[in-house]
Amino acid sequence: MTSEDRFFALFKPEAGRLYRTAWAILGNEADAGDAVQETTIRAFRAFDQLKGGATAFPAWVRRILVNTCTQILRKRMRVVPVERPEDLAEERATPDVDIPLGSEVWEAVRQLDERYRAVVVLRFLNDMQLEDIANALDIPLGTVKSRLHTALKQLKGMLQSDQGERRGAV
Amino acid sequence: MQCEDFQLDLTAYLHGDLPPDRQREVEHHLSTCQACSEEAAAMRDIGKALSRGLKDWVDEGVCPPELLTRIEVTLRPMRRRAWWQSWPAYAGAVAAVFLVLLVVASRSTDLSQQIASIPLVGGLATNLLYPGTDVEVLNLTEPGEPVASTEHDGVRLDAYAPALGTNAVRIQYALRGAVLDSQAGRNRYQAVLSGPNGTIKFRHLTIERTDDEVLVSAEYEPVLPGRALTLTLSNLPVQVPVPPAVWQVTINP
Repeated sequence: MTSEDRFFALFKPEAGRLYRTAWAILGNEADAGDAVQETTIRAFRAFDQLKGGATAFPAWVRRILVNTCTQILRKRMRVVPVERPEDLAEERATPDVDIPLGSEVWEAVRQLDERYRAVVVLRFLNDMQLEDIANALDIPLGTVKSRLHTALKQLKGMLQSDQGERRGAV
Repeated sequence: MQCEDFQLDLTAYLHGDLPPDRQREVEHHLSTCQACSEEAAAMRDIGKALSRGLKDWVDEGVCPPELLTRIEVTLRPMRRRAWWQSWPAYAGAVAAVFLVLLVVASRSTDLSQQIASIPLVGGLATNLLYPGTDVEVLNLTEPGEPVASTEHDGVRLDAYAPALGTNAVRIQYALRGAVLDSQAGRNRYQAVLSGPNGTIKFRHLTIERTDDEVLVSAEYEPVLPGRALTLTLSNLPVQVPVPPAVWQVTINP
């Protein structure tokens, strides 16, 4: 088996997850496709440097994907002329949140403004530390915290109302 | 410090991302403030829901087939280059083997030519072992001086040094004179290349026609290096002996 065959044998099972991860970070399928394509090229070129073999491949290629996506985001965010003030509207805390289904969570997350969605996805899907998110997106740590705080408040409202609707529909 | 300042740090606190001093500060505040404590519990729950929900959604993902096709098409030329990209990694080892062999070998000119004819490392090895030898890699797009020429019935044939690769032998030749008046098809310019064992199988040719010449680049099946070759244009007819094919390298001692 050539190294190309080995690469594709490892890549193909990951392709769906990579595609959705890119979609979650970038917010649309067209950019997700471009990011996955770019990631594959980068990974293929660096495949000889992969240490740890097949077991290490999924995490390795996902790191490349996240780097590719955050580069795209950074470029995109640079063209936003004015930073909008973070929405710090108060909401009453309600601790009892049911766990919604995966697609419902995504439906809620995708409605967030891009800046909020990106930090949420990097934090909760990719388990990145807040400081790493700040570095990846080239924004201050305080901004990451405030965006995350705002995003969680918005999501809490959205997910609770979804569940309220579902309960009402039963 | 107000509750809002603590709430901004709740996510970091819940994931242990805060510096130890700040972590203790937030912990102390939560033990004394019911609103913030409830907020922290809500954040913890929503964080768990997000983490699980997003990961489930990603795990169910399927890559669109057209994207997979696009990726394969993009990578195809890279797959062809991969051998060449990996070649430098092996070149050092190959060169080392040759150097060991050369230490025990004599210093004849014949040997220097054979060494120089080795792809990629030959030139370097020759320069190391035979300082002062001029090693030139042939460039098929700029053929330089012809190595053999002949003229017949107003047609002049200039042949350039043949270059041998692993899969083919390539030779360029230029035709000048009466041949330019002809509007005959490309078969007219196709030369027969023959060696000691007979005709070498022709593959294809490309033709560049200018005002005063027709430059032909023809490719044939590979031959052994060091064998005398003859180029024949039977349709014209002109024939010229050309030097043996070497591994894309010529030596000027």
